[in-house]
Amino acid sequence: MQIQNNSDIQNKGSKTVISMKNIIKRYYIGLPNELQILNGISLDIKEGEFVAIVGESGSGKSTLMNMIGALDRPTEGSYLFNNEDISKFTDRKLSLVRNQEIGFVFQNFNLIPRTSAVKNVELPMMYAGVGRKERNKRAMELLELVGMKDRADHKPNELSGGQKQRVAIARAMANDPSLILADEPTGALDTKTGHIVMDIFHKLHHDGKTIVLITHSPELAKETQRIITISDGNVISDTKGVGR
Amino acid sequence: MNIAEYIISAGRCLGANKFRTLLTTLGIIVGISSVIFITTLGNSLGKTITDVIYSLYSGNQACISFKPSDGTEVEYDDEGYYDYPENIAFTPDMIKAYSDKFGDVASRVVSTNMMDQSSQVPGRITVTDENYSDVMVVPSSEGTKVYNLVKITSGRFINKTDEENKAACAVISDIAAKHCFGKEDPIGKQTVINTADGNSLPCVIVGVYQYIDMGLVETAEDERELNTSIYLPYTYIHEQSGTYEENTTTEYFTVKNIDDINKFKEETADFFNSYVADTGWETDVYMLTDEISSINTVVKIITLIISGIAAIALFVGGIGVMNIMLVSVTERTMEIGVRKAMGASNKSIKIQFLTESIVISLIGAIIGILWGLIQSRIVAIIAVRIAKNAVFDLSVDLSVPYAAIIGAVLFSFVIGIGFGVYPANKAAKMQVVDALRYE
Repeated sequence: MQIQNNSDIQNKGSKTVISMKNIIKRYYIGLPNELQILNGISLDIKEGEFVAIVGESGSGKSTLMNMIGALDRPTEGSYLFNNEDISKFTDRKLSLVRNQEIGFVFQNFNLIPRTSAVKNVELPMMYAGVGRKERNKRAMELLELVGMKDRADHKPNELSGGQKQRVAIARAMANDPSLILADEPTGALDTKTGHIVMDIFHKLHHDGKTIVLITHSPELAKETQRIITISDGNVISDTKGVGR
Repeated sequence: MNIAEYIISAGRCLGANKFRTLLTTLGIIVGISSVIFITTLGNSLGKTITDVIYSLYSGNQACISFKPSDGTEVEYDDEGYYDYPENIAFTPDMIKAYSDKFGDVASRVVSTNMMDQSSQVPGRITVTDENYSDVMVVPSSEGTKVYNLVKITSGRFINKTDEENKAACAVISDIAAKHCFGKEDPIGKQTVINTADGNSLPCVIVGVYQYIDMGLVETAEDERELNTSIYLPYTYIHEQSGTYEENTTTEYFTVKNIDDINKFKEETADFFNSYVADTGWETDVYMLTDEISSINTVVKIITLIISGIAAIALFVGGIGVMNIMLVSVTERTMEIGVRKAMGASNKSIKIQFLTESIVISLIGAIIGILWGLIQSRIVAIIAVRIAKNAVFDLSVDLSVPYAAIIGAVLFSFVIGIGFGVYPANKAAKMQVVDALRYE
């Protein structure tokens, strides 16, 4: 294995965050239009990895992202998240996994409207039951980390796209999750702003965060350590990225 | 997330859409304010009626008569009078026995200008050609004062001693006093009443009362011909006119200082029943308080019915809340998805939307309560203004209807939950994946 950077060294021997075995997802089960989106995907992601999942639209990468993000349950197969099989978890337990272990960054930022940046960052901590003062303190620290501290009281409609996405990243980091799952995080941004956002992901990766980036852009995928390509519900390639 | 945070968050969401929130609460406001308005006015109307009746009669009244024991009504005779058998009547002896026994609490009203006009005779007091006044001679007892609402301005009214002594004394109206005696003090004046049936009743004026135009007597062009009542002891009148006390079929008493009205009624009925035993008749004791309670019952029923109608407005308001909550849930599908992705449980989404609908309803309730109270006060002020011209000063007691307010708050709470639960469930059951994809 070619050593690319510090974090790659950290990966060695570290624990597995995600371990999927033969994940199958079907929709409209039992109906004439039954649809199988994932055809038995198996993949392992280790702690500290920066992984890109690429694929054409309709390839099943969004469905895979939903599985990884504990937003949906697979029809078949096992999904170990931190060595715990969450594929049969109840809604309540899945929401705890999402709250504690996964930080989401969406293409359209998805900040809660009419709610200040800092309150948005506080949101996951609020659901985790963190006290008011403590969560405000941590939210401010996270906003500082993404360079948005001076905009903490701005509402989403007072922020630019890049600023919104930085707030969203801070929010994803709120409960110090095991995994950051970013779905086309630069998709709605111009190239320059996209780079700024990617810089933050690289920085987080450098600090040891496990990041899964869903994208259709090969250029963006190349920046990561590992590129998993999905097509027709199957993993068709799993290659090393160029990194940065 | 604790309940305070849900409420703050709900407040923020509703505050962001102030106009919509206000419009949504309008139904609740109208409903609650009408209920508060109606109950406030209903309560105070009942109270005012009671107060007015008590202030008019300054105490309780008993009307005692006989009725058939089989529950049928007393029949009328050819002339339209109640047709009692001859032996079914109050004799002077019975009345005397009753007065001896119950004199402490019940004092007899001999005659009233409204109830027993036949015993009243018109007459005139003549001092000079110019100074005269027409009067209506009212045979009176001590109880007449209370029964006829006589308001003594100077001197005194006929008392028990006058009755017993057949005293030649009289109580005249301020109008009669003015026209007969001018500015002189009428108390102690000796005068003579010449009655229409040819008697002349010499008497001493012992008291003057304030004449109140209740609109019951035809107004004369000349005040001197107004036929204001003049009260003389009935015993004196009987003696002077050579008439004697006759049997009566209905007796009136003013009742004071009794704690147990039902016991008094029972004892009175038992007393007179002993005279009419085995005749197929029994005593009927009707108290003023019965009247008051029946009026209050009517007011209460009306209040309830109107409140029920107002509750329909509340129901419609509740549907408005549900409607806007459904819109809100749809509008905020993405937000629901994000919250769920951030770890919000179905339960916490449900609580979030329920809190919002409850807060909307409670805001409506609070505004409704305030508006209802203001409304009822405005109407009360107008009512008092209008009543000013009437017989008596009407004071409207607008006690805050705490029961109705608590009821309104609870009811709006129930509306908030009842009409909020469906939208909240809809939000809670949303699939996070679908919600996130929602455009």
